[in-house]
Amino acid sequence: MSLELLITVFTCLLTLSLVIQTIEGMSLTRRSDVKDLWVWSIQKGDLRHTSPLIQSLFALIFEDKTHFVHLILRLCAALSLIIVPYSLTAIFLFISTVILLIRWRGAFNGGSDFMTLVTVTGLVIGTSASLFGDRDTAWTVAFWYITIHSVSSYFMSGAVKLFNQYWRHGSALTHFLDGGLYGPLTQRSLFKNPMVAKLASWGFILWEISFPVVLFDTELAKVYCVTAFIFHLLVFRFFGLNRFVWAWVTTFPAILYCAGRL
Amino acid sequence: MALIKRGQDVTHPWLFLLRGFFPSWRFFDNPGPQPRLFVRVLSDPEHWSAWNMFIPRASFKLRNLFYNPENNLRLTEQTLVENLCLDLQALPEGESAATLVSYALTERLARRIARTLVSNQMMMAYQFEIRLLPGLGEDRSEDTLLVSPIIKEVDHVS
Repeated sequence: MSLELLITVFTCLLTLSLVIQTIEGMSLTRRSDVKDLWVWSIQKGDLRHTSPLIQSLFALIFEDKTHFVHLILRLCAALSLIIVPYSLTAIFLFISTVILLIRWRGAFNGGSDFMTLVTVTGLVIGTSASLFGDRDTAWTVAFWYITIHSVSSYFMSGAVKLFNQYWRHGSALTHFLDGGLYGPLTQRSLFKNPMVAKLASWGFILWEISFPVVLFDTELAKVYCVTAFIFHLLVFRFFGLNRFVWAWVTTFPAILYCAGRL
Repeated sequence: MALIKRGQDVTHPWLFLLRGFFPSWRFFDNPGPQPRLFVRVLSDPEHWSAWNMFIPRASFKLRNLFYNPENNLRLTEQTLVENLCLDLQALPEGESAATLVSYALTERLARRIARTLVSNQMMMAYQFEIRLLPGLGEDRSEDTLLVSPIIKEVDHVS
């Protein structure tokens, strides 16, 4: 696949991911349970080590109206990526993502926020470095940055499970599925069967730790990306983590570009 | 570098707020003790409700793949409980938990849950606990990390 096509697919997927996150964020600003709980007058305590100027700046940024305007601008910036991914738009989205991380005390949805930051950083690298040099080289660096994070996310996740006896035994899978958003598992669930749980656990572990093989072969990379998509859909099915699906799928064009280039 | 850095404790306030720059990519790695918020409510002068555990639960909807703010918010609230648990364990000797941002936010979360428990009845007071529920390890005991004072509804500041 050509670099140009993969850049286009990447920006479209990133747009989709950012739009979903931003629209969810906009709907949260109207909720009374958010207004009652996540009040900046309390959260500003997280910044008490900073100067009064910085505290005032964030107080202004997180005023209800300013925050809503910020989200509208973010939505427009995300949508504009489909037409032309400008460097300034990318930088705005990067700063916006960091601001939203601070709004939610470091993370709203854990890993999906972190992977979004990685992909937006990749966008900044690709668009900004293109201004100073060769566009292909700039996007190659951007895609490698994203690929290293994405591939290592699967590998690390598999490695820590491999070193955990409960994952090797299969009981950890049942434990986490029982605690999931759509849990607990019913008594008739397949995953209640210890042998099925053990086989599924080993399947996930081996698939995750073997993910770096995508770097050696393009065809393997395609197979792993399709499997990864199904894997993230399963995670959504049991844990409700919809943002993870789109945050990780956004990295697949980068993986497909880097595959076989080592 | 980021992966090594994130493996250590994130203690500096800025590092905590910007921990997204140091992702660890360790998902569902440790089926150890799980911090949970428990809430009880006083709806008449004589009667406290039983302790109710907060656990995000929902029914599956395919459309949530594209729009899922409610459930994501509930999961964020559970993350808040986990952050409070970490803050409590790192709290210096003699310092009150009430000084923690995570405590103040959890108190509001507890109030919201308490109000759902009494529905139309009047709520006179509520109380919350942070307990560590046993994971898959050998230690099956439950540990109570924090018991809040009884919080009268008239004391609530919006």
